[in-house]
Amino acid sequence: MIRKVFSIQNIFMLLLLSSLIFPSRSYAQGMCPLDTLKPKKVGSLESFKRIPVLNQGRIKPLESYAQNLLLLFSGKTHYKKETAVEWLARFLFAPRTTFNDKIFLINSPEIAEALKIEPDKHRRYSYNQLSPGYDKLKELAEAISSIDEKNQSVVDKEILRVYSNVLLFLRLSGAFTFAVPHPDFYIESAETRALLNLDNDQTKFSFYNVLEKSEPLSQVAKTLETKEHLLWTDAEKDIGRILSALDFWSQHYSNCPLGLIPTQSPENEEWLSPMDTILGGFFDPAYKQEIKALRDMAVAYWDGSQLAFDINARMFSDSVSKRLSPTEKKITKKIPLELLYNQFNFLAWAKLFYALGFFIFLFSLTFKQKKLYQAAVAMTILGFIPHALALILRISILSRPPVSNLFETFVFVGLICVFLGCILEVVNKNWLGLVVANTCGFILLTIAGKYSAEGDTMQVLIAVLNSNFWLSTHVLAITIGYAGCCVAGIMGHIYILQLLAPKSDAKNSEITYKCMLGILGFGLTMTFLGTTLGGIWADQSWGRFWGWDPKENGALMIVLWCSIIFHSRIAKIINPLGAAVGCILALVNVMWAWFGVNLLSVGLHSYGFTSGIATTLGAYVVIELLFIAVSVIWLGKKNIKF
Amino acid sequence: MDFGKKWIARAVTQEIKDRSFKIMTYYLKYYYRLFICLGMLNFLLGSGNATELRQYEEVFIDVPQKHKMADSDPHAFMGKMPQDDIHSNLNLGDKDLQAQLNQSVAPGALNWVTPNNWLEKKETSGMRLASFMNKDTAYPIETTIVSLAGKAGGVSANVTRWMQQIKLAVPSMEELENFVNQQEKLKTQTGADVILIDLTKWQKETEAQAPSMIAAIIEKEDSQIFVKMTGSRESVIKNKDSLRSLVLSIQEAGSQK
Amino acid sequence: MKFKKKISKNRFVQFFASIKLTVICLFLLYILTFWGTVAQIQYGLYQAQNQFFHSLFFLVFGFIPFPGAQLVMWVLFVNLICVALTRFIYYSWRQIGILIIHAGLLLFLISGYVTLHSSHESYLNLKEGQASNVSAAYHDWEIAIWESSPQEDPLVNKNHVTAFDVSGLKPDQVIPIKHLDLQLTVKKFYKNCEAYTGDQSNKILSASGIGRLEPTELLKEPEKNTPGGIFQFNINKNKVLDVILYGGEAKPFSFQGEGKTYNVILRLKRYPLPFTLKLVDFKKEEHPGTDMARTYQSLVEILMDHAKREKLISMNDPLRYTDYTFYQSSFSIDKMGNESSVLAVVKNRGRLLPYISTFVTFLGLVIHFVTMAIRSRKD
Repeated sequence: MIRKVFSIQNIFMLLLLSSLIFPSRSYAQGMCPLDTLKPKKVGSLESFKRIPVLNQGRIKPLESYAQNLLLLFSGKTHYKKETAVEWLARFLFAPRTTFNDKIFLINSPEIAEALKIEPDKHRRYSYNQLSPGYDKLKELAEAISSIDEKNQSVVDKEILRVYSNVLLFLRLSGAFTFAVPHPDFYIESAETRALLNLDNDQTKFSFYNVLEKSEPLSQVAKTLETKEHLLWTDAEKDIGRILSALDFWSQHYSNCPLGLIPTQSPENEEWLSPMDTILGGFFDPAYKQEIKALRDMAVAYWDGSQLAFDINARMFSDSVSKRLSPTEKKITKKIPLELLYNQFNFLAWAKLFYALGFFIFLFSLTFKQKKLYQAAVAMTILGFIPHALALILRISILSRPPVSNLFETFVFVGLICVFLGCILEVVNKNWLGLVVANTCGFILLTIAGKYSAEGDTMQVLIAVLNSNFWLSTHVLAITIGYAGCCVAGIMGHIYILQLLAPKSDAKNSEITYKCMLGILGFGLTMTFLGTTLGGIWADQSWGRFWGWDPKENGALMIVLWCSIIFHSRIAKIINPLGAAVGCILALVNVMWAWFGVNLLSVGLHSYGFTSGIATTLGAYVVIELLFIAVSVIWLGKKNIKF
Repeated sequence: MDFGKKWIARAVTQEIKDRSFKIMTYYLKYYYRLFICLGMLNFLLGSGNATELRQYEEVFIDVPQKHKMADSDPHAFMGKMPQDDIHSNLNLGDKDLQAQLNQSVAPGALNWVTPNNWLEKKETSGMRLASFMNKDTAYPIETTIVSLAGKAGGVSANVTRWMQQIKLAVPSMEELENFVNQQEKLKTQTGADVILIDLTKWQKETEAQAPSMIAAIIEKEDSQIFVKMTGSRESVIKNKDSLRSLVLSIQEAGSQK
Repeated sequence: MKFKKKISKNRFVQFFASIKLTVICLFLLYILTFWGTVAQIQYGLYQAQNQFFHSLFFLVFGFIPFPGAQLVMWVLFVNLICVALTRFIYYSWRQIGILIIHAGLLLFLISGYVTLHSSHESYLNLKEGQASNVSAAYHDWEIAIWESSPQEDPLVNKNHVTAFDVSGLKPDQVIPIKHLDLQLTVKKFYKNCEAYTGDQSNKILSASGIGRLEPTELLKEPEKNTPGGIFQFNINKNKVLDVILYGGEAKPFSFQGEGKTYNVILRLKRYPLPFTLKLVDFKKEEHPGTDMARTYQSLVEILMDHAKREKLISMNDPLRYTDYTFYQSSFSIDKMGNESSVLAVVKNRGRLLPYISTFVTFLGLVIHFVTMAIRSRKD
C-alpha cells in the first residue's frame, strides 16, 4: 500500500536509520500497561447498532455483525449477561478487557491438551489462556492445511477452525487502537511536544493524535535526514522513535477485516477498516471526517459520555451514507428492518403459540368446551402472524425468496404446513386442521432453531444461485411439495391414532382419510413440479436435465413413493390403513431427501451438529417404524386390514 | 392386551415374514417373464464391433507464450450441484488459509540426478515435482519430491505426521527432539541444509516387511523441499544411499555447479 | 370398435396392462434410486450411474441378476402403452386429468431414452486469445494421427486428423489406415497405467523419453485414469516402428515415412464443433471482500466461414447453436496469471423433450387433483 501519509520519500530513509538506532522491539500482545485500564462504557448502544458494515459480501448493521462474530467464536449470541453488540463495543474500543473473556469454543479436549491448556468444563477459553499455546497452534494449523481436505480428521478441522478464529480475533482487536492513547506514543519531554505542536499538558497520545501532526513531523524528519545521527538532540531522537512506531503500526495494524468505511472509487466495492483507510488516504476530507468521528466515538466510550458517543456515531453513519452507490444505499435503507428482525425473536413467539395451541387440543380431548376450540384457533393465528412476519422481513432484507439455506427452508415449509392446516380447518371445522397446523409448525420451527445456532443464516449466495428464476421457482415448488407430504404424513399418524382410539368415530376417520389423500396428491403434484423445475434449471445451467445426483434422487424417491401409494390403492393391494402407513413413510422419505442426503458426503463422524443430525434422523426412522409395526399389528387384531 | 417386549418382537418378526413372503411371490411370478424380455433386448442392442475410423479437420489458434511454464490443473470439474447449504454439504474452510495454501506451492524449477538404480516417473498431478521407483522389484520403494513455500510446519510436526502415516507410536516431545537432533545433517551441492530423517530406527530388525520411511527436508530461503521414500523396512534401508545421492544432487534450475 | 376390443383382449397386452406390474416397477425404481445414491459414496457417480441407471441389469453378489433402471423403464413404457390400450381408451372426459398425466409420463420415458442414446458432454479449455473447433471428452480417449503440413502462421494449426477410439482395443488388433498408407498393430494397451522414464534398454520410441509402462488398477473416478500402450506402426509395408503412447504426454510423436511426417498422439477424444470458438476475454467478479465468486463470464468469438460474431457466456446465459449448448463451467489461473476459461459443451438432440413432458404432466396433475377436490366437495 502506498503510504500517502508520508508525502516525502525521505521518511523511508529516516525510518531505516531509526530502526538502527532503536532496535526493533517485539511488540507482542499483552505487554501493555493498558491492561489495567477500564473504560467507563456507555449506557445505550442504539446508534452504534445501526452503523453499517460490509462483511462476507453483505452490508449489515453492526448488531448482526456482532451476533455472527460471537456465534463464530463461541457458538452463542451473547457473552454472560452482555448482548453481542455490547461485547463487540467492548472488544473494539477496549480490546484488552476482553482478553480474559472465555469466548473461544474448542470442542475437543485433545486440542486443549496439545496446546498445554487446562481443559475447561464448558469448553470455552479466553485469549489469555490460548496465548501461550499460540505458536504451537500456528505450527499445527500450517501442517494440517497442507493435507488434502478429505484426509483431514475431525480434530484437524477443529484446529484449523480455532486457529482462524484466533487470527480473526487478533486482527479485529487492532481496529480501533489508533484512537486510544498508547505507550508507543507517550511523549514525556516538553521539548518534543513543542516541536510537534502537541498539547503541552498531556503526555499520553494516540496514533491519531500524532498522525494529525504530520506537517511538523515531516519538517523535523527533513532536518533529521541531513543531520548526522550522532548529533541528534534528545527531542529529535524522541521523534525518531515516534516515526518508527508510526511505521510499525502502519504495517502491524493494516489489513484489518472490519469493513466500516466504503472506498471513494466507484469500481471498488470493498469497505476498509479505519487503519486501512488512514493508510490509503488520510487527507481526503470525507475519510478524515469519518476517521475523526470514529475516534471521537472511541474516546466517548472510554469517557462514558453518551451524548458525544451518539452524536459521533450518527455523524459517521451520515457521512458514509452520503458516499454510497445507489445499490448500496438501497441495502442500507433495509437496516432498520434487520434491527427489527433481530429485536423481536419472531420465531420463538410463533413456536410458543403453536405449542399452546397443541396443549389446548390435548386439553379438549377430556374437557369438551366450545371456548377451547376458539382458543385453539386464536393460538394458531397468533402463531401464524409472527411466523409470516419473520419470513416477510427476511424477503425484504435479503431481496430473494426465503429458501436459500436449510434454515430458511424449515421456516418456509413450516409456514406452508400451517397454511394448509388452516385451509383444512376452514373446510372441515373438526379440530383436524388445527392439530396438523400446530404440530407441524412447532416441530419444524424447533428444527429450524437448531440450524440457526450453527451460524449466520443471512449469507450471500454463490455465483450459481444469484437471481435465477428457475432456481427460485424450483426450490419454492419443492418446499411446498415437502410441506404437502409432511402434512399428509402427520395426517397418517392422526388417522391411525383415530382408529386406535377406544371410541373410534368412523365418520371422523373417513374425513381424515380423504383429506390425507387429497393433501398427498397436492404434495405429489408440487414435489413433481419442483423436481422437474430442478431438471430444467440444471439443463439451463449445465446442459443436462437429470444426473442421478443424490439430491435429485431424493426428490425422485418422494415422487415415486407417492405414486406407489396411489397405484397400490387402485390395484387394490392396500387398504386405507396401508395408505396411512404409506403416508407416514412418505414423511420419512421427505426427511431423507431434505437433509439425509446431505449427510452422505460428510459421513457420519463429525463433531457437534452433523453427527447430531445423523443420530436424530436414525432415531426418528426407528421410532416411526416401530410405531407403524405396533399399530398395524394391533389394528390387525381389531380386524382392520392393512 | 399385554404388550410385553417379547410379544412385540414376536409379532413384528411374524409380520415381517408375512410381508416379505408376499412381496417375493409377486416378484418371482413376473420375474421370469421379465428375464426373457431382458435377454431379447440385450441381444438386440448388440455388442461392440470393429474399430471405426473418424476423420475431421482440427483448427487450433494459439497465443504467443510468455514463458514456458506448464499450466496448473484446471479446478476439478466443478461439482455439478451448487455447493450451497441445501444441495450438498458446505464445508466452510478459512478463506485466508486457502489463499495461503494456494500460494504455498513454491515456484522455481528444480533439477536433480536420478540415481542409477532408480526410474523416474512422469507426473501428471500438480503438487509432486517428481517420483521414482526402484528398478529392482524385489525391494520396491517409492520416492516423491514435493516443494512447499514458507515453513510448512516445523521438523517435529512433520516427523510426527510421518510416524503416524506409517503407524508408529509417536514418542514424547523430549524423545522426539532427541531423535531429531541425532539425525544426519548434510549440505547439498549448492550449500542448502538438509536433515535426513531415518524412521527405520524406530522399528525392530525383525520387522523387515513393516512399512517404513526415510525422508529428507531441504531448507531453502523461502521454501522447503520434502523428499520422502516409502517402502518396506528392508527395501528402504537398501535404498538409503540412492536417496542420499538424489538429495545431494537437487539444485535450482539455472544455478551453477 | 373392433380393433379396440381385439387389442384389449390380447393376452400379451393384458399381461403387461396389470397395475400390479406398475407398482412393482415403481417399487424397483425406488429401490434402485436409493441403492444408486448410497453406492455413489463408494463407487463414485460415474460408475454408480452406469451400473444402476444406464444398464439393463447387473449382478448382485456376483451371480444374482437385478434389473437396472433402463430395463425397468422399458417395462414401464410397455406397461403404460398397454394400460392405455386396455383402460384409457374407455375413459370419459371426466378423467382427462389422468390421461394427460400419463401422456406426459410417456413423453418423459421417451425423452430419457433419446437423451441416453444421443447426447454427449465434453469440455473446452481455452486461454485468453486461443481458439479451437473441437471440444474434448471428459474420459474417453482416442489415438489421433495427422500429417504435418507447412503452416504460414506458426500460431495457426490446421490439420486433417484421422482418429479412432481406444475403448475397445485388444492386443494384436490390427487397424489399417489406407488413406495414410499406415497400418497400426496394438501390441499392449492398458486403460490405466503409469509411465517411467529412464529405461531405454528396449528399442521402443517415445516422444517424452518414456521407457516403460506399468499397468495399474482402474480408479473409480474415470477422469483420473490415464491410458497408455505400445503400438507398432507399419508404414506402407516398409518401415516398422514400435512406439509407446501415454495419455499424460503433451506432445505428439512424430515419424517420417514416404516423404511425409506423421504425428501420433493418445489424447482425450475430440468432438468437432460446428464452428471455431475463440476466447477473447474472461472476467471474474467476487463478492466484495470475499473469495466467493459472484459471477464469471467468457467473451467468446464465433468464427464461421462467412461471418464472425461475439457472445458473452455467463453462468446463467449459455451459448446455444442448433443442438449444441456451451456453458460457463469453471476456470483456472496459472502461475503466470494467464486466465483460462473452461466451457462445458453439450450436444443433445432431444433437449426440448423434457420441457414438453414437464409441462404436459404438470397440467395433467393440476387438472386431476382440482377435479378430485371439486368432486369431493360436492359429496
